[in-house]
Amino acid sequence: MDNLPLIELSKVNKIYGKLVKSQILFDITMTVPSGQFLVLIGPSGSGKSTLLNIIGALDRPTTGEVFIQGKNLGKFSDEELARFRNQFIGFIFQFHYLLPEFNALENVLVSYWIHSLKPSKEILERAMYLLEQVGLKDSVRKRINLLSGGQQQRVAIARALLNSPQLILADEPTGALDTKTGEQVLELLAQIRQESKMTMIMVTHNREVALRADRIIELIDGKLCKEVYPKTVGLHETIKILESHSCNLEDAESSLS
Amino acid sequence: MFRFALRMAWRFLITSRSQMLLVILGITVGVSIQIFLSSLISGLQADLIQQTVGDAPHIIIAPEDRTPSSFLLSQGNLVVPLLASPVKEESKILSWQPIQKQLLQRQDIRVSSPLVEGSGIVQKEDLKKNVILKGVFLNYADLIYKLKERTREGITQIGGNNILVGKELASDLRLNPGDTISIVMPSGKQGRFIVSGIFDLENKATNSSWIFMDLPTAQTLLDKEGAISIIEIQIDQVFQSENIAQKLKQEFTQYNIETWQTRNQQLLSALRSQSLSSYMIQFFVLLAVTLGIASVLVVSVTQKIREIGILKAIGTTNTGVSLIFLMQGAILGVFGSSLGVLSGFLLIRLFQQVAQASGGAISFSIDVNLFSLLLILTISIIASILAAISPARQATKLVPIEVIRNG
Ligand SMILES: Nc1ncnc2c1ncn2[C@@H]1O[C@H](COP(=O)(O)OP(=O)(O)OP(=O)(O)O)[C@@H](O)[C@H]1O
Ligand SMILES: [Mg+2]
Repeated sequence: MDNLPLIELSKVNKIYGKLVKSQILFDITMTVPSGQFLVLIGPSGSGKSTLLNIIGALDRPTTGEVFIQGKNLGKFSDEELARFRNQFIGFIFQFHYLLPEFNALENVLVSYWIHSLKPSKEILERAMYLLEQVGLKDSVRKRINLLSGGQQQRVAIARALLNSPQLILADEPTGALDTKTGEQVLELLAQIRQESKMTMIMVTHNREVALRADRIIELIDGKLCKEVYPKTVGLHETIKILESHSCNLEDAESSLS
Repeated sequence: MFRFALRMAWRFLITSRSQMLLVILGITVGVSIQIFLSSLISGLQADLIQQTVGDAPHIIIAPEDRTPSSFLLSQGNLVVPLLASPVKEESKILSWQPIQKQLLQRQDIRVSSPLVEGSGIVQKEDLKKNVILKGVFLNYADLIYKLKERTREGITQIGGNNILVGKELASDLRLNPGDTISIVMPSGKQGRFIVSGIFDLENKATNSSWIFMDLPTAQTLLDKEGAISIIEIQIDQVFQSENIAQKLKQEFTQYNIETWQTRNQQLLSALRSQSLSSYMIQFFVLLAVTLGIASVLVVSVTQKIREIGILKAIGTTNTGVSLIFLMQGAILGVFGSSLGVLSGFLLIRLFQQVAQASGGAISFSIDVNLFSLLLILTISIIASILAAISPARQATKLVPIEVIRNG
């Protein structure tokens, strides 16, 4: 069981449209081991978000299968998928999707409320601890609209972490933030990753961030094109591969030609 | 999940406060109208029934093949022989004492009063009038006709040669308490009587033709020694009459048992159609309120697309999301209906005061019936929840990735 990958995709295809079909993902087959920090890069429209949403059980592949911890998500009902998302995955989106009706603390607790009867004292303490960790100790009771963009994104991070998920999915988490606050948020995520050994998949356009990953995968036109392990091959080699114009993954190359 | 849905529903509602207050106001108005209307109608009907049968027998026990004249308030069919058709031999109840004894022991009967009746002609000087003679025991008859309460002049006394006459009869014959009159029977028999009191039974026909006298006196005058014509019965709940009549039929098989309903079909069907139109109005009020709730919640689904999308993305099930909207319906329903009950009460109080101030122009009172109140409350809360079904469905159909993609 130990060498079972956390995530396994097998020939995942995604086709949108009924009359005019457009295929967004082509036969994606890949695995992600537990604890890995994987960065997905690629040009706009290459299908990164689509792939991430499929991994995150927010969307279903048109064909192909997704296994998480050996469980076939295709066999889950919509209700089971929802419950699975809540327990297993923490989402961080580009735009901090928070609930404007609630304050910071309540927004963090929402993840817990969804499936639990009574909020326990421990969970309240954990929410407070997480907010403190993301540097919002003093804004716990503030309405969401009164927080800055960076602060809101940090509330979203705390919310994603509340249920101690095994997998964090972040889609351009700093996309809507200025460079400085973006950097702070990334640092926070790095710190959390180190402390918790969570698996994280992040979509980013930021080369700097990508270079800190355990593994980089580049997606082009819905196909896996390049794969690099920066920590194994070193920075120079990584940059060289990323800047080259040919793919280093076989099936992508064969279908590109 | 209920707790979660309730919390979300509440927050969603209070963030769009003015919408919520308007919907609640709508429900309040609707429910108070329903309560007022249903109380008004039932008060009106209770009053009509009371006026019709309040001081008339509810059930009568009569010998077979006899039309009870007591129910025919206008001139009375016993006058008919005088006008045209041949005189029929009247049937009578001979051994009435054991029946009366049995009736007095029954719990479901408030009063039973033996009655000897027949028609005659009253003469005072040269004035003549056809009358209906009612021979009764005053202590029983009073419980039905409330003669003591309704004696306007003189005293309520019928022993010996004393009789009570109606208000109209008294004025027609210019009678005063203490006057002497003679009554002539179709058989030729006649007697002289003293008017001891003048009653007002609030019915013109009755007041102008009825004469109450002591039962033994009437027996002699009508040649019915030892027998009576019918037994009149009043019960506590007028609508129990058919039930009780059924039981009496089993006990007294050789007699005819009739209820007030058989003689008041027209009134009953009028009441029924009145109730029906009141239900119709209530139904359409309810429908309008329900549609109002539904439309506001449908709009709120579009307003809250973002929130619903987030909640779904982070793991709220479709059941959970629809529950949020059903709860909103329930919250609106509970608040609106409760306020509606309160303001319905106030409306009724207001009406009662207006009725009082009118000095009898509004003769009936309206009261709140707890059962129909609870019924209206329950129905309107259920309707509010039903109103949330379509918005809940809409929320279920919302796809979270659409929301996330479009920001
Ligand atoms: N529901 C949909 N119907 C049709 N096409 C869609 C739908 N959702 C996404 N697409 C298309 O799929 C393609 C990939 O979209 P996706 O959001 O995955 O790209 P991305 O790599 O995340 O791009 P970006 O870097 O701009 O976020 C785009 O061309 C997009 O227009
Ligand atoms: Mg994207």
